[in-house]
Amino acid sequence: MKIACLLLVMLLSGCASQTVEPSYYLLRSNQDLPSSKLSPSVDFALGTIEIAPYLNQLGLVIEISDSQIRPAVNHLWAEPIYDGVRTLLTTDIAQANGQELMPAKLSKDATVVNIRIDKLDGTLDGKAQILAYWWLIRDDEVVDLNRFSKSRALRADGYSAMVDAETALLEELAKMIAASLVPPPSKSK
Amino acid sequence: MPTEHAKVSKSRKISGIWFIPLLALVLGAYMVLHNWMTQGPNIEIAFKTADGLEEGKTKIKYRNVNMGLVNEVRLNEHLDGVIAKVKMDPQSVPLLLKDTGFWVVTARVGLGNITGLDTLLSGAYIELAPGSDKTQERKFVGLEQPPLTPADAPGLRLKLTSNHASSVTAGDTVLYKGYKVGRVETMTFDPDDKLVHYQIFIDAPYHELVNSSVRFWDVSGISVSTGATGFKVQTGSIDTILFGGVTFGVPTGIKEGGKVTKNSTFELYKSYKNILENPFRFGAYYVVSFNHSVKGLSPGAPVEYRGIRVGNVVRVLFKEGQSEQIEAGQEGEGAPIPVLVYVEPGRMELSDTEASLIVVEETIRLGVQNGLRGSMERGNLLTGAQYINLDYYPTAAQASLGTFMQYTTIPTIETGLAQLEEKVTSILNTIDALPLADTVASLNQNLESLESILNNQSTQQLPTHLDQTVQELRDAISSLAPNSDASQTLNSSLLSLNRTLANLESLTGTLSRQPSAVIFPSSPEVDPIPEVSEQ
Repeated sequence: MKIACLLLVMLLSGCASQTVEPSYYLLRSNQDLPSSKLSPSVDFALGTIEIAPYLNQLGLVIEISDSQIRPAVNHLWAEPIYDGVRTLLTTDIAQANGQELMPAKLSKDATVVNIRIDKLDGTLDGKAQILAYWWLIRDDEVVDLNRFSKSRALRADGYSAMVDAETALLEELAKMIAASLVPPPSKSK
Repeated sequence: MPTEHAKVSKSRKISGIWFIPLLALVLGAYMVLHNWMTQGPNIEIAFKTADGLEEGKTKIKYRNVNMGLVNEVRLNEHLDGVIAKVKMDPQSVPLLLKDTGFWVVTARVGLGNITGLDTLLSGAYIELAPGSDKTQERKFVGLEQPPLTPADAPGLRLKLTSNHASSVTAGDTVLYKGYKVGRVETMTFDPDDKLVHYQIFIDAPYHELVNSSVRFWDVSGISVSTGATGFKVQTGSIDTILFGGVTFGVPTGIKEGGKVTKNSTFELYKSYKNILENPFRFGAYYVVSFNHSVKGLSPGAPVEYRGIRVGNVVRVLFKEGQSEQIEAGQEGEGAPIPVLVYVEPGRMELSDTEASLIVVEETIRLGVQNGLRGSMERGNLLTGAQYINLDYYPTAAQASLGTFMQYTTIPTIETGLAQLEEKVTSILNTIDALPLADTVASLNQNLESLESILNNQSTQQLPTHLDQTVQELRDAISSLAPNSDASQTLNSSLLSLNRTLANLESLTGTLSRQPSAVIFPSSPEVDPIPEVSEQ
């Protein structure tokens, strides 16, 4: 009887241990998005957005060393990172060009923008970094191919500052992409 | 006084007057002996008629020198000819040999020439042509026609045989590449062998051109042939066009033969084309028998060894095969059909000699032991012409040479189309044995059942139902489109599932590192915090 009481006490003491509540983060544009009538782009459409497989997890990824990463256990994305990246890029590109990029299957004659994110993480020494490619396909031919690689220092310690820095890097990427979307001469009117 | 008596002494002296008759006697004896010793021999020459012969007038000449005189002409014992008795000059003795020829020279008008015109004035005479035999002879048979070639002329005398007379006759020219090198001396027909026999003479030095491989052919007249390239006219010399002639040569593709002896026999071909069709002299007959149709196999069809023609088909021995079958008491058993073929060593790059023929026969004998078989192949798919093929089949059943009538038989094997036909026939027999009638009847029943099913109202409504089902399926799929409610719900569910799985993964990781964590609480895992570097 005494032994059973001892085990019950130990179990209750285990259940009574402290737990850490996870934090959830969202990738969204920081720009003001007033209510307005939007027009879809005729010349360009959004194709595929590929995310490096190591990023495709719930936890934010932090680079421990050059070849070692660690996904956070308590600092998680509120949604799959693919959805966050796609939403942020389409919003900022549309904001920059004044036209919404529609899915490629809805704009058959448009030049298709394909994007690939190879790196989007933070480092222990307080930096966020990105490595991305985008290319334009017109009439089954690649007409433009670009790379964007940049790191950005965090404003403060912690994951929240890291998400802010990553958001800022993605916004820069969106601007670069928007700047490359120049209509072909025949369609420039 | 003494009387003196006269002494009478008898004189025994022969009167010199007797010398005269003695001298006359000696001279007479000398003359008789000289006459006897210098007198030539008497010979007899038999002729069919005494045409041109006169006793005491007709002379014997050799190279236009008188060699004797006809003393007497009389009928022979059988009264079917005449015998001329001739007093020959002594110097003619070496010329009176066994094969010495005599003929009456008189004016003659022939196709090619006119001879003996000088005898119209001087009278006929007998010409002597000395022979080459060593035996002396005193009785001769005169020639009715003057020999075209002297008996001692240098050259080569040959015999030709032909199964038809054509236009070649005695006196015609023998040509070599169009040049006159000899002549046809005689032409006779032998009723026994039913062949025309010619004797020809090739003058020296052209007789060296004759060897065992040469062929003689008739070049008389003008040969006209037509073909795809138009008309083709072939002629020999003007003599041969007018009077006929013979030429000879080694056909293309045949090796030079050996030397030939005098009086050798050759065949006289109708034309060079005839030689090309059958250019070889030596060959061997064989019989190959087949258990299937020989339709398309005609005389003259090729006999080939791995594609090289080595002979030809002579004929199908159907009648002989039937007779053999009846003799063997096997009538009605479908005996094989024997085919007679002729194999020629000359076609196998061997010399056209009897020795080569022996080699070929031995090769075939050994070959059969090692799988050499005859087969009938189709040479032309359009015309259906067949030929005999000889080849080695090492896997063929053991067999050996046999005999059929007087011929050697080569074992046969069925190959090619014949084998294919047999297989097709076997397949058709198998198909024929199938219960096709029952199968078709059953199939008809099934078709009727199927038709009734198709005519059923519910079956006919099936496409409409299918259309409805497809439309519903489309609706269901569209409800799962990325922007649909279902898709959104699905995404949310997947996200929740991911989180649960992540938590579960974290839990299993913790338990694997610290199994007692279930009972003894562990400190919560702390994420590394990125810190701003102070630079």
